[in-house]
Amino acid sequence: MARFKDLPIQRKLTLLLMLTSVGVMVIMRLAFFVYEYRTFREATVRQLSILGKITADNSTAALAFGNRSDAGETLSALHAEPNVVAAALYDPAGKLFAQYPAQPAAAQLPPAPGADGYQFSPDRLAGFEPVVQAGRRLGTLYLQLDTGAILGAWLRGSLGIAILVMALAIVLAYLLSHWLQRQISRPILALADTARAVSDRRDYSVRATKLGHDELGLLTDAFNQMLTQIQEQDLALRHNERRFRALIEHSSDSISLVNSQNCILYLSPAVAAVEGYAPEELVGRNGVENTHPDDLPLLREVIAQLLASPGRSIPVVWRRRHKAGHWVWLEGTATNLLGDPAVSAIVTNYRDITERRNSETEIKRLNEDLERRVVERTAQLESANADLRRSRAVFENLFVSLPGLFLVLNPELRIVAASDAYLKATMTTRDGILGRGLFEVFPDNPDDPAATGVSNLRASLNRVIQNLAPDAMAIQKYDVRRPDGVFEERFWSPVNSPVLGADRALEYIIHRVEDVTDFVRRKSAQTNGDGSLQARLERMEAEIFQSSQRVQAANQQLEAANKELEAFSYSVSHDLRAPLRHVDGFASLLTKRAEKTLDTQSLRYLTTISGAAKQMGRLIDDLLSFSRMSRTTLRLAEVDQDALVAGIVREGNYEQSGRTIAWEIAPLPPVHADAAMLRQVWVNLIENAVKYSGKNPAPRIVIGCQSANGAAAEQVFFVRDNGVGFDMAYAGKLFGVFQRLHGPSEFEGTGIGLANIRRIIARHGGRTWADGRVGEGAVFYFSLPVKPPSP
Amino acid sequence: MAVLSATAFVRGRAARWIAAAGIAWSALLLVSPAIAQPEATREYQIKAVFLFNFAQFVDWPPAAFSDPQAPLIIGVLGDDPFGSFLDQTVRGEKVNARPLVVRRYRAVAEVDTCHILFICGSEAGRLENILASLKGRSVLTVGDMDGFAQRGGMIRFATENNRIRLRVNLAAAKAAQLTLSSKLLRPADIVEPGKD
Repeated sequence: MARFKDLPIQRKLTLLLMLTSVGVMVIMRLAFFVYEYRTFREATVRQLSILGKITADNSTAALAFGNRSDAGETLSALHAEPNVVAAALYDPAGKLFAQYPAQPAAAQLPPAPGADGYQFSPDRLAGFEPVVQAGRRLGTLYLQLDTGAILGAWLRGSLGIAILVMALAIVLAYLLSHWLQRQISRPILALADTARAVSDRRDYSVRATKLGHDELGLLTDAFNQMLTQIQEQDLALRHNERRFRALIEHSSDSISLVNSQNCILYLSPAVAAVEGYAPEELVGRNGVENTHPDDLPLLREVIAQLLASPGRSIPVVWRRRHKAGHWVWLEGTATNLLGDPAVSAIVTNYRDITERRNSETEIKRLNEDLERRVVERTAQLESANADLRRSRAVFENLFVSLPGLFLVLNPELRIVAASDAYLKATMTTRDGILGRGLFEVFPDNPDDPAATGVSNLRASLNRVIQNLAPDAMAIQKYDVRRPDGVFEERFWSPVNSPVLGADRALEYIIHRVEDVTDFVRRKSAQTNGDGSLQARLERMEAEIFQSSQRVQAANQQLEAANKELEAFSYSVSHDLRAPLRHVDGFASLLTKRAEKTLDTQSLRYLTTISGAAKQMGRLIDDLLSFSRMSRTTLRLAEVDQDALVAGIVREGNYEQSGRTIAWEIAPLPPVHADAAMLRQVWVNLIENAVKYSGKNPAPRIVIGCQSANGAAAEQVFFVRDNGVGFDMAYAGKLFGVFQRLHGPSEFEGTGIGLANIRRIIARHGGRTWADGRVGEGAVFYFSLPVKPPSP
Repeated sequence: MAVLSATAFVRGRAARWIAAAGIAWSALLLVSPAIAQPEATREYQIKAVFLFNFAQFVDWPPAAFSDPQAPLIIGVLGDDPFGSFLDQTVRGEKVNARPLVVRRYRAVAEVDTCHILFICGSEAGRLENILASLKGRSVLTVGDMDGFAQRGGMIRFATENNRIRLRVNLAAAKAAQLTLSSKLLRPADIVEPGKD
């Protein structure tokens, strides 16, 4: 079987098929032979039996009538069958009656008939056949056949055919198996050839040819796929190796591989730069050679440690002799990779650090120098600090002990310092207020709704911050909270002064106050003090405070009254419109109805009534819009004035009456304003210009913008005409309500337009004014702040 | 199996036959001297067996029997030379399912239904009459007188060299519508009428 295993698969398959088919054939042939032999024997018995029956039948009469010669003749007919070697007839008593051949050897015939039937003995078939006539037995026939000869003949024929058939079958089986095995062996051999090509040449680009879609086809596919993967991996490996090789060869670090006996196995090219040797000069030599004698013990120790612990990395710094003879400082890391089958060495990567080492020494020296100087300087600073601390303590002491009431704030209005007097006057402690916000510590008295202390102080401080100048405040009522939480009425006279730093920036604010409570109380109680100067001064200050309080109250009343007035005028003008519509309506009705009957004079009266009513209606409308102006809120947005003015001039259609107006419109900058209100301003101004230049045969209107300078806080716009102009003596009245310089007969108008303009511009934080001369035209100006006003 | 049982059957029957024939043969050989009956000589003992054997080699026309089981009758005309031997020979025997019966006639007129008729030597003078009266009837006539076959008898026992031979008149048998087996004719001598 071992030999069978080593046979090539083609031979194996052929052998397999051959053995199977020949084996089956031999078994079949054997079975058939056995069957044939049995059949042959049965046929022989049958033939002999038939012969016996015929002979017996022919012998009946001879036996029945005792005719021996006749029986002898009958038996002798058997000579036609040469294989019948003996025959005999026995009478019913068992006595031999006749025999064949006439003189046989006595031993060949049985002395008496045996049982009927035939028996095989070696090369003999013998048997007894009853002789029967009409159901009666007349005797017995004995026959003996020599089977040896027949069998021999039969065997020769049968075996000859069998051998011939088998030989043919084997040849056929061989041819068939040879052809069949190719179906299986061809793809396998193709695969094997490919595999051999791959393993011999390491060529992973070859591919096995697929010859079918059976399991071998699958195997081929899988094999090819595997090759593809191997090819990719091989490529990746090569790339990797090339990369790492490139890394090593081009690394500025030198890399060495030594075995456990310190024999150098490999050195990267960088060693030439580090030690002056070409790698070939050192490979094979001991890695410890050339080491500085002082570093040898260290190196030996490192090697011992490395060998003791596989995989460990140890950093090491040592010296080696350069080929040129000088010592080179080396720093590196040695790793024991003896256990890694891919490396099997101690790997050390190292670099020349001689220069670094020298500069390190230098740096160390410089450092030491620096440290020494720092210590000296620190000592100086410390003594200066001590001086400072001393003087600061003096000043602090001075400050807190000042007799005045001083509070120091930072620009965020947090309390930085306070004099003892201040603390005492405000019933606070230093710890309780330092670092806290000013208004957190000193809020308004919640029980005094009229308290203005906080707002006034805040405004004053803001002025200081903005102007960087001291700000003295009027006497203030500013109640302070006692430690028990109850507020105490206090009056103060504060002054806030900025403290500027070297860069003129605000550093602190000094808040100095004087407690004038007693004085104010005394004044309130109408107690006339003595006539001393101090007393008079105090009295005057108190009076100023009280009168300022009164002015404030009057202002508030005035404002309220103004508001009431506006509301009143609005409702009045609104209510006036209804009766006015009646007057106008009924006048026109009357005109229509009585046009035919009335005389010319009456009709003119009616027309006058109607015109007056309409004029009044316009007046009321203007008044309403004027009063509304003060109530509506501003909707500020960027307004494109070029488009606005161009639109007004175009839509106004001011040249319809055949007049030609020379327009001169300069580009206008965009402004931040309420678009609707601004439009009203421009409409009024342009209409005014058109109107008052109506009598000039060549009207000319100029619209423009003039800025005082580039960084001005406001922009000034103007409309100039060459109309009737006005007397500058009345310039102040121009923008008042119902103020007109020309009668309605001369120019139409309600006298509200310019008042409206002034109001709108004022609400935008701007100004309005005019310039003109009688008969020489007029210029109307308005300004708008560059920064939009807070709504 | 069928072959096997058939063989067994044949063997069983053969054994019985050998036994029966053996007894008959011994009786034939041994009994005659002991009984010492004058009419039952050895010669006639053989002839009695032959008579019986004729029943096996001759076919009668169907009309010769009243029914298929009707007995085959062997008649003896004249002085009976067989004694009781003939009766002993046929007793219990059957040929083609027919039992055998022996009848003895004094005169030919007594012969009514008979299939084999042995005409004894005592009737030699009346042979022609006898044969004439049997004409047209299917009766196998057997005798041992000289010239029996030439004279119109069908089978004659002739003794030659101490052996009994058969002489057959085929024409007579044919005329009586009897069919003699060719096997019977092989050991026999064919005789033409008028010769001998």
